[in-house]
Amino acid sequence: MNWSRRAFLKGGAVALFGAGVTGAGPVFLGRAALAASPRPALARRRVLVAIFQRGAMDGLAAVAPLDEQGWLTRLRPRLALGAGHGAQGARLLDLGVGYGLHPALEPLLPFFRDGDLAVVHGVGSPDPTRSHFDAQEFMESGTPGVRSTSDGWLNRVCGELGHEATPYRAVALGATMPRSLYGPEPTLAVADLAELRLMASDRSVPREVRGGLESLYRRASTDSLRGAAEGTFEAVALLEAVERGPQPRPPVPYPASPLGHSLRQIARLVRAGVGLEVAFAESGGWDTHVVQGGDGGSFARRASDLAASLRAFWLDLGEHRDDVVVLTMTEFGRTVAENGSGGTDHGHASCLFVLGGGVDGGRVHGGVESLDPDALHEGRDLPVTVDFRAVFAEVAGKHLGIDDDQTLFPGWTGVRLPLLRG
Amino acid sequence: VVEVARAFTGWAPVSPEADIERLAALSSSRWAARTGFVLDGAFVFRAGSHDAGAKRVLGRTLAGGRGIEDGEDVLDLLARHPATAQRLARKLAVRFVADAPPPALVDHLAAVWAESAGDVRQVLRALVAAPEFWAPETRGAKIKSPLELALSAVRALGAEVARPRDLVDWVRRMGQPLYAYPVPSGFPDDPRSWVNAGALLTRMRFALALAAGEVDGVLVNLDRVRGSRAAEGETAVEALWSELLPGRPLAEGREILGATAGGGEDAFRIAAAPAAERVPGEPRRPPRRRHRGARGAAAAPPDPLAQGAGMILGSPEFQRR
Repeated sequence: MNWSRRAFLKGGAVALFGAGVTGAGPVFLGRAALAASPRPALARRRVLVAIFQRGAMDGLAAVAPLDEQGWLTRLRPRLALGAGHGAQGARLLDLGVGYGLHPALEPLLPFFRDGDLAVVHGVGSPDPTRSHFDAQEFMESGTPGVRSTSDGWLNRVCGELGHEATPYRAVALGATMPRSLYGPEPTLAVADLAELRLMASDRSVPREVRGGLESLYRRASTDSLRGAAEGTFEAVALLEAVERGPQPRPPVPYPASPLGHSLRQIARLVRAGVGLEVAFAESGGWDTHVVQGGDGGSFARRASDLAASLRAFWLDLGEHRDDVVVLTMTEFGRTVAENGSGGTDHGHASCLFVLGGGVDGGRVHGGVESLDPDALHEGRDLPVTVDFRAVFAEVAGKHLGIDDDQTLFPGWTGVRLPLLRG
Repeated sequence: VVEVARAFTGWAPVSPEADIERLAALSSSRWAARTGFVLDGAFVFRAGSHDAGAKRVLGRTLAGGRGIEDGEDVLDLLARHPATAQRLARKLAVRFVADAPPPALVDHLAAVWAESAGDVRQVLRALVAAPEFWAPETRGAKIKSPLELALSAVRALGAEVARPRDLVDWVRRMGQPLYAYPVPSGFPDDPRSWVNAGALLTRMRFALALAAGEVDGVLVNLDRVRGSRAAEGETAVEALWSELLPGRPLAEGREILGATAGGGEDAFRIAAAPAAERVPGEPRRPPRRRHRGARGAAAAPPDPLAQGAGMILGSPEFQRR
């Protein structure tokens, strides 16, 4: 563990921990020091924001190939939306590149037109599993078909960053650590930054108690608890910096959803300049087996939340947009044909979104060739034409400056899919 | 998977609303014998809904034209499969010994499983009798799950759970949303999902809140500790240390708690005194959370014993089992 204390606290402010050990004087001098000094002198960091859409998003509902409308209306009569202009609300939004965007994703359309948003279609894992558990495991470990990988691909990303870390370098918004971040590099999972605030407040936790706990952990034998606790106390100490981060004027409204809540807090960490480099947020409910719906229904609700949350996030970032790339991912796609319950079942390839200033946007990369059942994977699913690792390696690698694909994705011999400029 | 699913066609759990007596009467009727209806514990089998074709499972062919025997054979096959013995032996060893249990122990347990034809009692006896179970390096090697932490903390304080809602919410915030794990494999028995800088913070806050009587619906009575132990020459917080962390040297506790309490040990001796002013046995009323801000500086000074207890419950030692 090598937290960069110096990056934040120069000179006398190193009393941050020293005081806690002896029990003499206030423990969190660091907070005062931070409050008195100008903004922490930390290099502006590039940030990768990963959003995992749990449950397998129907890529064909999100971004439909207009040339294959015939097959879509035949195979999914209750789900397929019409193309072109006509009845309002029930039509796909023409992206102008042979694909139509689901109307619930409309908030993302301007980003696509401006060239900041790219779609990658036909993306997925070479492993054919249709188990959510296995597919998420393989995507998050970054090693399809290999169960013995103990760390997650985003933790390996952190390991390759090659400069000093702060406790906020890798943050997952949520109460549990996602598999993607398992590993030796320190990470922070927190459902709400308010948790940290309560610990930092003298009113709710007297500082001698905080100091006592701190020294209890410092005395613990070197192990996972001690390492994690070090991150805890440092993150609490640096909270002032987060709190004083510039607020957008006027505040950007986010959807009142878990994803909206997570992205709002990620934006806050980005703006605060506390060293965030990898952020992880969850979006649930994509397992639309039943009454998936067309322009309304469970898919449209999830899609609407995703698009509105992302749009709010992007506006909220303001000038920090240049530093951030958002990458969405989902464990697999869904059957091309609808099932008997008005939904779709576990399939193979899906699509994903990449949003950022340096993104080769306004395009659909990869793509959907044909939805003729004869051309489908096992006669029923969109085949995988883009290995997810080709996208992840490109986005993480190029944005964060990591060259070693073999470390990020052991055993992978493919090449990156060009998605980012420069 | 498809073949196994076919073997179990016709099987269904008895729904909690079902009239068990009526089902039992039905299953012993002539109609049941004629149509192949079976009630077995919490399951029913309806031959009419069973796929009676031949199936192939784990390299064995299940002949066609049968009923409930298909599913029973699959269960037998699975129970006797060597991989089952290894897997369950490993899970038990991970649960009760260490996250990375010694392979020799796993093999031993798997062998006992095989010899005893899957008698879990014998496997557990072998587990407890194994030297690895008692080895010093595996004592306290496991990190408690959030649920285990919450329950052990409640028990350690002898607290009474009148309304579990807030407690359950703490368990959720510590990372274990009960009955809501997103995938069917269940919560991992793996410290990596419980231990990180954020989760540890929530654990410490939970410990402090619980000891301070701020978990709504949980009645904490620290006077029990004060009354029973302070008289024996220990300070109340020392008594708590001995009680909550049995087997940990008291000297260590004295040093840590004493050194970090601002005023040293005396703070706790004094702290033990005001207990008499309170009606013994009357639980502290948990303050309503939403009023906390308004109380501000006017709030009563925090109870040092509660703080000490919170520190002990939030300590690294108490996170282990």
